[in-house]
Amino acid sequence: MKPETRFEVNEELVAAKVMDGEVVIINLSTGSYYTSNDVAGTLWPLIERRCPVAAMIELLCSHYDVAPARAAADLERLLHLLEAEQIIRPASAPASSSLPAEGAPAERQPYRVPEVEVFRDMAQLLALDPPMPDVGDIPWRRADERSHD
Amino acid sequence: MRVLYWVQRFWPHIGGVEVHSAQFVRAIRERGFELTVLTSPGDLDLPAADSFEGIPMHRLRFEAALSSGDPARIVSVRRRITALRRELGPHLVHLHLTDPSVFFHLITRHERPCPTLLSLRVMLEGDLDRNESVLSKALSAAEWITANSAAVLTALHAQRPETAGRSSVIHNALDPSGLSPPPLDFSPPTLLLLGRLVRDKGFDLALRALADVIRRHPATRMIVAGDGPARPELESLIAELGLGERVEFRGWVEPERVPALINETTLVIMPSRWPEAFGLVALQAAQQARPVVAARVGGLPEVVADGESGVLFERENHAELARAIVRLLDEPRLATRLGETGRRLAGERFSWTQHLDAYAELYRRLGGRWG
Repeated sequence: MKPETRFEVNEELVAAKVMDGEVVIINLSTGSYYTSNDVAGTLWPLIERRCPVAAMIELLCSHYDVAPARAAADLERLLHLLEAEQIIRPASAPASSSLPAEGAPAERQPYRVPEVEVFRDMAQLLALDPPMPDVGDIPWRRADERSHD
Repeated sequence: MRVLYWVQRFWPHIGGVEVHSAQFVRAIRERGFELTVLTSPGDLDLPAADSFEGIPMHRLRFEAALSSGDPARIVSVRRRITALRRELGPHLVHLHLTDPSVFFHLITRHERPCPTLLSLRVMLEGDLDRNESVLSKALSAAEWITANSAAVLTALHAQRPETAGRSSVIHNALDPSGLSPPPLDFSPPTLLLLGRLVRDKGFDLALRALADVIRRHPATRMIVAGDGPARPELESLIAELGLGERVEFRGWVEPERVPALINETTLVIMPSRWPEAFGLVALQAAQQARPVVAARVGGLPEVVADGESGVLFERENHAELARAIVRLLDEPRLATRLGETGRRLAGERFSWTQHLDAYAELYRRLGGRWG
């Protein structure tokens, strides 16, 4: 992946929120949910701003105790996954001029591979809700339905 | 030992699982465990912090957050669970598979990590070896898995063989109602269908069987208790078969009134098409000394001992179902004996005390390691 490569969030399909350093992403077209660890959460604002890969590697190396080559390899894997999941796509516009306000910490933090965890069957689970199949053993209705009797 | 008991619905919701959960937390607390209930208010307007008989309860809108498509709401719920885990510091989390909020357990389990006990009360179907499935992840993350029948456990092992060394059966149990069962009344014979009115319950098969039964026992009647989307089809079938007023729809029945309803009947019929995970109605029938005629599916053969407490028939075979009913109506002494044996076996095999003992032992074994 070239240092100048840039991506953007596929905003038509994706909703995302960073909080407490981690990002929660929902692909609204597939119904898949994603949660990140803190390292991937640190990268997300740069992806949102269409920053080049080089800037992301620099951020990883300034925030975490990791060598540039390792950071580049891990970042490439993450970006490929996000692209395959249609969460990001090659950028069609220039990088945003506003860079993240937060600077590098005074001391580099322990490094973890930036990862997102994928949850694919939320839609099926929500369709079970409620009743769960075994609840049918006793005649079951939602409490709000009973209140209309 | 502090246990976070995580359940999709809890009091004041009323249903099979809710009734079981309320009885369970009350009884397991008496065995020295310090419980906190984490649940969802569902569609009701209920306080986020509450208590049930002195047991702290927290209600979070899990499903609303998940179905909103809004990551901010998911993050908000996650924050509250994280705070609860920090505050509580549980030694064990006990949760139930197929609850969508299992997702929140998975994304917060690294906060104050502790063992997870996962209770499984459904037959697992689908693509469970796909490691991106919430269910699959929950199975992988659990230290121990309980199934409510051997049939459920067998289905789990078929899909996920690696769970064999960390799973066991704890059968469902119910406290006997305290309502004495009257002798079986054959004048007229009354058959009971109890459950949600959905096609998979197979109530249409019982109606077809009834049409055969009345040729030999013309006074036979049937009570259908429950509600659901299949009711119009069942009503059409009743008209088509000319069963008319022999079949009485009772609608939804409060759980606490089920034993009295069963007492009104001669036989209880469970003609399910789908593999019932357990078949709580069969246990309730046995407790009231009613013989059960059940399809040989899922966990039903574990609850209905064929030839001892009831009769099993092949799934979808309404002619065989009719023959089994006729035989029991022909032989009241046999039906009475099956009912009485069923009541004895219910006490021996599905006692509430055994159920609690088994869970208490697991709690101590899993949580004790941690605490």
